[in-house]
Parts: sequence; C-alpha cells; structure tokens
Amino acid sequence: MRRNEDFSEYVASRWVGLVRSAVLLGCSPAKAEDMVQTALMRCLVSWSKVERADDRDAYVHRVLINTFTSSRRRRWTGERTVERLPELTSLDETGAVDDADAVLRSLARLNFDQRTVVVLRYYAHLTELQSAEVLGIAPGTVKSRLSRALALLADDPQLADLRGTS
Amino acid sequence: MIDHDLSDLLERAADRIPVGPPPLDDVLVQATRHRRRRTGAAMMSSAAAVVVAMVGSALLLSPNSTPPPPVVTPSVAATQPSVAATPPGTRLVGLGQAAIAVPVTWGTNETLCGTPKQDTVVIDVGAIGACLTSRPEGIDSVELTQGPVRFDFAADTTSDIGGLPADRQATTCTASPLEQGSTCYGTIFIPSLAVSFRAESSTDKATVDEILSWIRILPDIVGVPGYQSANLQTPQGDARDRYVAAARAEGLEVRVVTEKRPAIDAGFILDVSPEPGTMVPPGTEVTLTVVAEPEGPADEVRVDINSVGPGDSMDYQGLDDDQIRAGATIELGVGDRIWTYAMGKRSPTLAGELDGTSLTIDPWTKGPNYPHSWIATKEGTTRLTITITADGQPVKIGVVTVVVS
Repeated sequence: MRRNEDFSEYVASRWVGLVRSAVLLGCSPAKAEDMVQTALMRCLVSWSKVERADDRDAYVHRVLINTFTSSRRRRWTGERTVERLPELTSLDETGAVDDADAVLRSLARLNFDQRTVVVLRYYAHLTELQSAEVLGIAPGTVKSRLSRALALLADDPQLADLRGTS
Repeated sequence: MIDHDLSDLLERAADRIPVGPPPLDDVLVQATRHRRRRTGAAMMSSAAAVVVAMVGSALLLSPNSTPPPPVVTPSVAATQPSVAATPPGTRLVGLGQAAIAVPVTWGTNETLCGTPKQDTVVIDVGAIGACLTSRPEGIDSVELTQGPVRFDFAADTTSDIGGLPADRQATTCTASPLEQGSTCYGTIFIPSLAVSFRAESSTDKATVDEILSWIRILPDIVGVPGYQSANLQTPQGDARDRYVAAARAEGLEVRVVTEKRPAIDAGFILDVSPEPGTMVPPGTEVTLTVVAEPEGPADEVRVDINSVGPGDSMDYQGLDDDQIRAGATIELGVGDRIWTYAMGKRSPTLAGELDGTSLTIDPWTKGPNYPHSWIATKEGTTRLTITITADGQPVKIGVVTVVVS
C-alpha cells in the first residue's frame, strides 16, 4: 500500500508542475495536459521502474521529454479518448501583454534544445547532471546549451524589462 | 542574466498558466488498456507485471468454477419505504441519503490491484497499483460513487427506490479474458442524489440483482462523503475547503486536525473519520485530517535515503522522511552505495555532511544524486547530516547513523 500512496501523492503533487513545464517547452495548455497525461500513463505502466529510479523527478521528466520530442517528430497524435472531457483551461487573454506572455515569447526565440535545458534547469530545478541524464547527453553539452541560451535571453529586451520590475 | 532571475521569471510565468485537475482516473484507465494490449490473452500465469488499474473496475475477470455461491441475504427490499433500522446481520454504507445494507461479513475496499478478493464494498478509493490478478470465484462486491457514473452507463429501465427515480442498467456478464468463467455486473444510478451503485459478482447473475435490491433511501441519516475527489482537484491546498463544503452540504459538522507531511500541499486531505460511507445523523461531527501549514523550510521538502549492494544485487534498503527526521540508523556492508534524494521546495539544495570515515563520496559524478551519494568503503560508523539551503542558510533535515560492517 505504501507504493499506492506514493503514487497518488506523486501524481497529486507533481501534476501542475509537469503541465507547466510542458507549456514552457512550447505546448499549448491543452496539449500540455494531454502530453503529461500520456507521459504519466507511460510511467504508470512501468511504475516499478519509477520507484527504483534514484531520482523520480528526473525519470518522469525524461519520459515527458521523450513524449514531447516524439510528438514533435510525428506531430502530436498521442491523445487518448476518454470517457469525460477534462476541465478546459486557457491562458488569461490579458497575457498578450503580461509578463508570462513575454517570458513565453522569449523562450520561443530559443531552439528546442536550448529551450529544453532552460526549462529543466531553471523551472524544474534539475541539476546540470540530472538534465544530462534526462536528455541523454553529456553534462558539457548541457552547459554549452545553457550558455548559448542564457546569452540569447540576456539580449532579449523584453526580459530585461521584466528583470527590472522583479 | 543570473540564475535567480531566470528561475524567478519562469516561476512567475508558470504561475499564470492555468492547469486543470489531474485526470487520474483517465490515466489509470489508459495504463490498464495499455497493459491489456501488451499482455494479450496468452500470458495468464505471470503475475509479475505491475501496472495500474482503476479501483473497483474489475478489469481482470475471474475464473469460474462451480463452488456453492456464498450468498448472503439481507432481507431488504428495493422498494421498501425508508427505515433507519438496519436488518440483522447487515451494515449500512452510503453516500448522501442513499445506502446499501451489506452483510457484516463484507469488508471495505478488500481489493488487490483493483480487483476484489473478498466480498466487499468499494468506496472512495484513489489510485492503486494493479497486477495480473483475477477475481476469485464466488466473490461479490458493490462500488459506490458520487457524481458522474463511472464505467459505461446507459439506463435500460427506470424504477423507484424510496420514492426517488432510479435508473437501472441491466445486469450483464462478461467472459473472462484470463480463464473460463465470467463476472456479472449491473448498476443503479439515482440521479437526484447523483449516487451510483455498481454490483459485481463472480458467483452468478442473480447475485448482482440481489445485491442491488439491498439499496434504500434513508432521509434521516446521511453518508460521510469521500475525500479522494477533493484531493484530485487543484489547487491542492483547497481540498480541505472543498471537503468541508461538501460535508456541510450534507448537514455534517467538520473538525479539522492537521499533521505534518513534508512536500505535500497544506490542506491535502489525509483521512476522514468516521470512514467515508458511514451513515450518521445530520449534525454529526466528522474529523478531517489534513496536511498542516509548513512551519519552516524543512517542512516543504521530503527527503529519502536509499542504498544498494554492489553490482545489480537489487537489495535496496532505505529510510523514509520520518525515519530520517527521527535520527534512524541504517546498516550497510562494505561496498554498498547509499544516497539521499529530495522532493519539494529547495530539493536542488540537498546536501549531506559526513562525520566519520566509513563513507566516501561516490565518484560517479554523472550520477543523478552526485554529490549526495556515498560508498561504504570500510567498517565503522558515520553520522550523516542532511540539509537543504534556504535563504543562504543551511536547514537541517535530520541526522542518520550509518553503520558499515
């Protein structure tokens, strides 16, 4: 039963963060929920592997990233039919001019690899080593991608404005 | 741009992204379907695969031999006017004013991997693990839910129970994909109360109809609501308020007590007493146990320790958060690896300080737990102090004694 409780608590405590990670990676909110739902389903099918993982968050993020990259290669066809429609959510329309929108637009200037390491490192708070494990790349590659990404973001006037207001 | 700025910007942006509640039920159903596709019909014997199923769905059906059906027969008529008295040998379980009188020999949530293993009521269950298991022969159960009817439901007839319209889906039997035999099921849904009863039996079809005949409407008492659905909506911290509102709507009083649960949102519900489904008079006080507000940074992170022997021995042993904070001792052998990891706020700042010489830092710098992973290199005792950092200051989570022998 401990495992069952762990699973319930894990999903309950991580759902919001995972969906928001997916949005920061470039999904729409609705697609992000689909994506995370599919990723969690894949984790649940092999939940024993998740339990044995040294770092659950890193493992689940790896599944999420794999789901996302796979969907980008073949467009997103991973939605599953469900008996009930989920509660619909949408970005606040005023977001066109607000901070969140500016951040998302700045992230969109990065290429996918750069954007992924930024989200893992600075939103999911994975270490560079964990990010390397998640992405299956060398830690040095994480560092170089982060370095280029940060340089691009540092030159972004919108973010400079936001930093000034923080 | 400095790290703190970017993290702050992303947090602020993310906070503006609305997120619906986790579709846990759907995820579980998908996982089960995935499992069923993967396993196929030929691999019945292995019970090793671990997947997830929805509680009470009885997706894996039972074998069917021909034992004498363990029929229990509370003498309650479906159309009987409401009476508070419980028939001898039965107990009432219900939601709202709808209840069912089940034999006292029936348990509550006596399921394994989502499949009833004894005669049981199934009520207010969250996610549970599932495995390749089957429903034993001669097992009867009823699942109570409040809200939308789970499973595919279509009313075949409408009758009357205690003066309320009740939609009835006809009893049907499904052959087991695992072995010979079948499980029969039927559902009654009471729209005005939004309560459904799904009876399942691996005894026979008649037993399903009999179970559903035990339903009654009791206007003078009410079922203690379940709390799992309140926990699965967001924001999580509002679960307590959602439950209190639901209980008060049923005329119940609620007393809230708190328990510390690191890294879980304050307000997340841990328990309800009396247990959900208990029929009580309006005005009864229900005790709700929820996660307490954090008193400091240490309450916002959950830390675990795990260890494993050399090679792929898979002989994991560890300490959970409670044990770590209580100052537990863990015994290792020379060559074992031990590491700590965290969930929750500031988990990236997790660190461990050694006082002793029996452990050395694990040189696997690419490992996910570096630098808070160590190898037991020689016999002796080392005290491991686990900390996180908040506002630039170390915050002690616990001190663990590691004995290497």
